[in-house]
Amino acid sequence: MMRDKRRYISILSSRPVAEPDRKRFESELYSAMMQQLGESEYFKANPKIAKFTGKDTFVLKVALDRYEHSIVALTFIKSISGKPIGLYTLKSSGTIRALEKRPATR
Amino acid sequence: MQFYDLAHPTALHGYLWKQLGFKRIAAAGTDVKTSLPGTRGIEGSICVGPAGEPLNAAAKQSPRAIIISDSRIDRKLLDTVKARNLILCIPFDRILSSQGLRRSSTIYLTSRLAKYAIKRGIRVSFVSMAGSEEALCSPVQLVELAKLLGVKEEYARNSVSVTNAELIE
Repeated sequence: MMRDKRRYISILSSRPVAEPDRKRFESELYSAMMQQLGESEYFKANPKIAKFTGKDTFVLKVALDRYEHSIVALTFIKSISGKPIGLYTLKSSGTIRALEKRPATR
Repeated sequence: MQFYDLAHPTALHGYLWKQLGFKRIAAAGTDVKTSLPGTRGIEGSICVGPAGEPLNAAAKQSPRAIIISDSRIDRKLLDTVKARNLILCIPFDRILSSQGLRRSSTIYLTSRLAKYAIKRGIRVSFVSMAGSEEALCSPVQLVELAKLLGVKEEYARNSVSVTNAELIE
């Protein structure tokens, strides 16, 4: 069976995503992305947080063919649970390992 | 490739710009002079105003760049911009601060302006013009927003790098 091609995006948040609230942040991020992408595009993009890499950084996994839509959706998200937030996409790659090695702005 | 951006001083605290991967984010009004049509000090500044005769007159006074605040296509104004080799600066702040149908209409108008200007051979620069830290964008996001307007990736990357450098330095 063919596996869907994925893209991993490294994201910096303007406010910390602290440990006890991570699950909540995750579900609120998904609903904010659904609001921006629309239900059908959200289903196709299928965004999932793959890894938290720091107190304000994480890696988001999205479908390769919806990568650009996902970046625009993340740019449009300006608040999560009523609090202002900025989500900055730093770099992206086909694997998490390559993402950790790759310099920014790719 | 090095990337540059322009934002309001209120968005620039600490070293976030470095984390985002920019070589520099200039502060509008302090690092780079901004002006309004019909006022003094237009020369060398970024002149911001709605399309029309006042902005056209300002474009003839050698500003560094112009921002058409209502994103309307004014052929006479764009002829002046082209003839004087000025930069047409497209800020994303209005797209990012609006929502729903208003955002959609802003994207449509901005997209028409950007595509028309590029077709005419005008140098177009894409900047965030963020008013707060949350409104800042990384270079990847600036390029993707430019692509959303219908600009080719290569042009968008070159604009955020070379044209923006020329705009702020």
